[in-house]
Amino acid sequence: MSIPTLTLSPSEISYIQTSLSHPDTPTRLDGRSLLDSRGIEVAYNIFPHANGSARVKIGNTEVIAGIKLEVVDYTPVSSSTSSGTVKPGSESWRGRVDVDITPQSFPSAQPNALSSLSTYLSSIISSQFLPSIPSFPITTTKYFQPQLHLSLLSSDGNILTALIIASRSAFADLKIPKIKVIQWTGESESESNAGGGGVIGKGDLSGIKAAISTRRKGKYVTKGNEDWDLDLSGDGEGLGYMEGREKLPVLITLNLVPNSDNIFIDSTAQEESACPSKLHLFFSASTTPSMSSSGNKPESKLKICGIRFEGGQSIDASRIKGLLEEGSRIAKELIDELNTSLPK
Amino acid sequence: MSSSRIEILNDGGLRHDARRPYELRSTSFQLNTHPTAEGSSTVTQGLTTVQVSIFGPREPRQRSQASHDKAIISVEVGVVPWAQGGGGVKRVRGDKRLQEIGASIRQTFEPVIMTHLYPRSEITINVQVLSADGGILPTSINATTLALISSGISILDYTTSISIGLYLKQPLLDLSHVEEQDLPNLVIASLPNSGKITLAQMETRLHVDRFEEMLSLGVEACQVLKTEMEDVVKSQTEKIVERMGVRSVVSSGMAVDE
Repeated sequence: MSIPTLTLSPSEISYIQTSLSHPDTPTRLDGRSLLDSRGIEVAYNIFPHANGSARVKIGNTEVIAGIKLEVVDYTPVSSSTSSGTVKPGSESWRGRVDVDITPQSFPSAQPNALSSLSTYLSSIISSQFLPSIPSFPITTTKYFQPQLHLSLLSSDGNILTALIIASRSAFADLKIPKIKVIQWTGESESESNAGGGGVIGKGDLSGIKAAISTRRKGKYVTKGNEDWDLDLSGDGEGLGYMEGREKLPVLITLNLVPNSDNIFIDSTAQEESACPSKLHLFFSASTTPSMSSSGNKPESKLKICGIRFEGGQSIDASRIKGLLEEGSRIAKELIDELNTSLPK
Repeated sequence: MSSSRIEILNDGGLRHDARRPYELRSTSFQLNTHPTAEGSSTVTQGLTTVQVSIFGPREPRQRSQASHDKAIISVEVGVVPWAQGGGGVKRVRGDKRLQEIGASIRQTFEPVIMTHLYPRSEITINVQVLSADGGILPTSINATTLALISSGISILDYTTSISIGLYLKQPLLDLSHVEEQDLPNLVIASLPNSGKITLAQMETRLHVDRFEEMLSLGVEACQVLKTEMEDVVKSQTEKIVERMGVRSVVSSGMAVDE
C-alpha cells in the first residue's frame, strides 16, 4: 500500500515478471531460487542501555529494535458492571510499538510518506505481533509494560519480515527484573491485645495502626502498602528472560507473480515493484519445543496467528490452503533456526 | 538531576569514568556502513554512537529551494528512544532540540563543502543517533566529515569537533552526559589544517577570562581527532587501491601506474 516502491520501466517489469513466472526454470535477478531467502543476520543485546535489543540484517535491509520497560498501573476488571470492564487487548500492560522509518531507508520519499508508512507498520505490528506477548506482572496492580521501538536504517525489500524478526529477537533478548513484594502485615486485634505494648512489632507504638487499618471481618488488621523491590538474591543479576520466548511469532511473506502460479519469498526492492501482490502469514509456535527423536533441533508445532493479503491481485480460493502449507513449512524452518541461537 | 551524586573530578584527578581531564574517550571510526547511501560512516566516542548517511548531490526535493549557483544542504537528525539511558516516549525526529542540532550541523558544513561545484542540486545529510552518552553534536559532526569523505563530495578540510567543559578553573575535554548536564560547556568545530573555527556553540554561562583557554585547548583536541580520522581514511583508501589492482612503480622519480 504505502511502501514507496522504485519506479521501474515497463520493460524492466516485464523482464522480472517473465523470469519469475517461467514454469520450468524460474530465475531471479540475484540467482536465488524462488524459495531461497537471502542470509539473515541477527545480533542480540547491541544496546546495553535498553532492556532488550537486537539488530537484523536481511541483505541490505537493516532494522534495529530496542525495548524499554515502564511500570504501569493496572486494575483488573471488576465483576460488577460492564462500564468498569477493560476490553481484552487494550489493557494498560499491553506493549506499545513505534516504528521509525528513517529518511535514509527511502531517500527519494517525501517526509509525510515516511510518517504514514511508520503509522501503517506500527499498527500491523501492534495488532499481529504484540498480542502474543504475555503480561509481566510485578504486584497485583503494577505491571511492566514493554515499549518496543524499531528503526529501519536501510531497505531493500522484505521490510515487514525484517521488522517482525527484529521484534522477536528483541523480546528474546529482553531481561525482566526479578521482583519481590514487600508488605508489612500486622497481627490481628486479639493477638495484639494479648501481646505487650512495649514490644517492637506488636502493639501500635506510633499510631500507624489507627491510620492505615483495614477492616476485615470485624477485626482490624494493619497492612502497609504493597511495595516491591528488585530481587537480587538468586544468581545472575536479578534478571531473567521472558517465558515462552521460543514461541514468539515470525512472519513469512509469500510474493505472488502476476499471471502465474509461482510464489517467491524474500523479495528485493525491484522484485517488489514488479510483483506488488503478497500474502503475509504470521506463525507462532504453539507448544513448548521438545527434543524430537530424529534430529538435534527441537521440533515446534505451528499456529497461524495472522493473515494479510495486499497488492490488489486476486487469487483462486483453492490456492489458499496450498499457500498456507508452504508458508507453514518455511516458518517452521525459520523458527527452529532462530530458536537455536537465542541468547543464553 | 542529582548532580551531587557523581564526582566530576576526584582527589586523584580522575573523572567519573576514570579519565584524566584532557583525555578523550575511546573512539572508533568506520566508513561505508550504509549499503545504499552515497557516503556513510559510523563514529563511536565512548558510549555515543552516531551513523551518518549522505545522499547527493541530487535533484532537490523542493524545486523552489534550489539555488542556481550552489548546492543546498539539508540535515535531518533522528535519535532512538533509549538514547541517553532515558525512558520511552520522546519524539525520535522532528522535535525542536533535534532540529536545532540539525541546523548547527548545516551551518558548520556550509562553508566547508564546496557547494559552488554542485549548482542546482541538494546534498542530504541524515544523522541517526544509535546510543548517546553526551556529545551528540560533536560526534555527529565528526561522523558527517567522514561520511562526506566517503561520498566523494569536495570539502575544504576535515571538520572535527569536541566539547569542552569547565570545572573550577580546570578545563575538561570530551564530556559525557553527566558532565554535560552539570558543567558550563562549549562545543567547537574546527578545520585542523588552518586552525579556523566553523562552529562555537555554548548554552551556559562562562566567564570570559576562561573562554580563550578553552577555545585553544579545543582546537588542539580537534587536531588530535583529525590525525586519528585521517589514519582510518588512509588505511581504507589503501585497501581500495589494493583491490583495484593499481600498482604504482616509482623509477627515477616518476610514478607509473599500470
